[in-house]
Amino acid sequence: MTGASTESGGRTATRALPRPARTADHEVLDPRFDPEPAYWSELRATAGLHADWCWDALAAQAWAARTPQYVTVLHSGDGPYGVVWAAWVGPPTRRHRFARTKRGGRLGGLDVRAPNNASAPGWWFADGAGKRLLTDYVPAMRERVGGARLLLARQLADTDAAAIGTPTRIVRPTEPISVLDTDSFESVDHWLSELRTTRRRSLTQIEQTIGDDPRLEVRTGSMTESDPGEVAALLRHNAEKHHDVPIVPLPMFTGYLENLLCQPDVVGVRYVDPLSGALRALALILDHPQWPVMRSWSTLPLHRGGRRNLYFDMYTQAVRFALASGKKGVVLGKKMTDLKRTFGARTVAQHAVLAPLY
Amino acid sequence: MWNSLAFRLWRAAYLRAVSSAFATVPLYRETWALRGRTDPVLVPGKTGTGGGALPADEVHRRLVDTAPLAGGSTEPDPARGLAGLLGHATERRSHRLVVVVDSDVARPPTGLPRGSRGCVLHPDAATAAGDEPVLREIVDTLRRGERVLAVGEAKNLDMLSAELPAELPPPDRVPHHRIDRPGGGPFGLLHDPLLGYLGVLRECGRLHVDRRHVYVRETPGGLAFTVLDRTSPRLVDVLIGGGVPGEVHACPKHASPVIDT
Repeated sequence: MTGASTESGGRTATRALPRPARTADHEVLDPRFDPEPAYWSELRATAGLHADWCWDALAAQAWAARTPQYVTVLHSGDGPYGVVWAAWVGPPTRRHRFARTKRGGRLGGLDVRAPNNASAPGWWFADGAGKRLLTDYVPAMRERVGGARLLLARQLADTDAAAIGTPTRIVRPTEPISVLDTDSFESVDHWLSELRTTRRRSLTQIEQTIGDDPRLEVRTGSMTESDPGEVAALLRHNAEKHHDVPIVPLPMFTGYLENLLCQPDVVGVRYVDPLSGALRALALILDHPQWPVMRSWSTLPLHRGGRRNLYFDMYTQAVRFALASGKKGVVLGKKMTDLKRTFGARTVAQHAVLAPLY
Repeated sequence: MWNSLAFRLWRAAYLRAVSSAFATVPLYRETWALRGRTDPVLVPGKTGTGGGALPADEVHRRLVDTAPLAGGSTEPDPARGLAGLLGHATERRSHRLVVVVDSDVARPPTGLPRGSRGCVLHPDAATAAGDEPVLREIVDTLRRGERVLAVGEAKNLDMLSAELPAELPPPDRVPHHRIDRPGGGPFGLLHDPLLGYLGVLRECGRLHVDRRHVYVRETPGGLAFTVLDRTSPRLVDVLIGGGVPGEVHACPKHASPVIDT
C-alpha cells in the first residue's frame, strides 16, 4: 500500500491477487465491537498494510478517537480484494470528547484515511483502481450507514484523484509526502557522498558527536521491550509542538502504543542513556517489505536530557536501516519538505477529493 | 448507607466523574473500553479485572494520559485537599502558618482559610542548619505567639520539633496516615502521594472520607479512590497503597462515610 503510494502512477498491490468479480460481498466492521476476522493477518500481508493496521491497534485507536471508525472489507469469490478505513464524521462529533459508545450515526460523511498515519492512504484494492472507492466502497457503506452524504478521500495520487469522477467534486492538492529512494546506494557513505557538502559535513559531525557522548547510545530494532508509557510521554513533546491545524489530531496514547509496539514490524531508532536506560529521543518506523514509513519522531527538551541535532541523525539511521534490510526506500512523510530534500528525498504530490454522495 | 439522600448524591457525583473520564480522558477511555469495568459497566460484556480500578503505580506510569482532551496538567498535586480537611483534623480552627513536612509535596497547599499561609518543608531541610527560610518563618511565627500547624509523617514531625528552640511552644501537629500503614489517633490525615489528602481521622477514632471531593468504593483489588473534582490530572478508581482491602460504611456518630481496613 505504502509502496504503491510512492509510485508516481496508480496503486499496485505488493503481491498480485486475482482480479475480483465486479459483484462482490462486503463486510463493514467496527473494531471497537467486532472481533478480528480470520483472514485479517493474511489480508494485511497481501495488501502491505503497516503495523498500525493490526486489529488490536485498530481497536485501541478506534476507541480513543473522536468519531466512530469503520473498516470495510470487499470480498470476491477468491477472497478479499479491497479494504478501506474511514472515520464516520457526523453529529455529535466534539473536539474534546471521544466518540459515543455506539456505532455510527444517521447523517454524516466518510473521511477515508489511514488509521493514525498521514503518510499512507486509507484504502487498498487488489487492482489498484482508486475509482473503486465510488463504485464498490460507497455502495457497501451506504447499506450500513444510509445517511452518508459526503466522501472525503485523502492521500490520493494524481491518477487516483482523476479517477474519482463524479459530476460535482472538489479536488485540492494537499501537502506532498517526501520519499527517499535508497536502493541505488551501496552504503551510508555512498548516500552521504551524494548530498550537498554542507549537509554531508553536518551529518558526519553530528554522528561523531553522538559517538563521543558517553550518555548517549543509538539502538535500532524491535520495540517489543520498550515501555509504552515512557514512549507516549516522549512522543507527546513533539505532538504538542504541532498545533498548526484547526483540529489537532489526537496523539498516540499509551494503550494504543501497547498494542502497536508489540508488533514485530515496528522498528524504533532509540537514543538511549546507556547508564540509566532512559529514552532521550525516538523515531518510530513502520516496517514494510519495500517502503517503511517514518511514523513519529520526538526528543526530550534539552533541559530534560535531550541532545541537539538528533533529529538530523535520525535520517542517517533511517537510511542505515533501509540499506541493511534491503528496502527500496523510506517514506519520510509530510512537512519539512525543503529540509528533507537536502537528504536526497523527492516529493510525491498528494490530493484530497471531496465528493457528494447522492 | 448512612443517609440515603446523601449517599445518592455522593454516588451520583462518582458516576458523573466516571462518565466524564470515559468520555474525555485517554487513560480511562482505553482501560475501560479495552479491558472493561464494573459498577457501572460501560461497554456491555467487558467487566475487566479488579472492577476496572487501576493501581497507583500504573496510573503514575501513564500520567501523560490523565489529562482530559481539552488539556490540563499531568503533574499530581500531593497537597490537594488539605485545606478542606483541616477543620476536622485539629481542635483549633485556624493557624497562622500551615507547614507540610513531606518529601513528596513540592508545592504549598492552596485554599487555606483567610489569615493562614501554607508552606512546604522538605524533611532533609528540617534537619539542616538554621538558615532554612521555612524553618526561620516557623520560629518567627511561634515567637510572635501565633499558632503553627505541622502536617506530615510522624517521624518528620518529630524531627521538626527537635530542630525548634526548646523555649518556644511546640507547633500543633497532624500526622499523615497511609492506607497500608494506619496510625493511632486522636488526629490524622489519610494521605497518598498521588491523590493528595483523602480523609481525616476524627475524634470518634474512625477514618472519615473527604466526601465532598473523594469517593471510595470496594473492589476486588482493594479500596479504590476517586477524586471527584474535575481537575487535571483526573484520578478515578485508583488503588492506593498497592490495593488495600477494606469496607466503606457510615459513621454511627457523624453519619458520614468512613473506611475500615
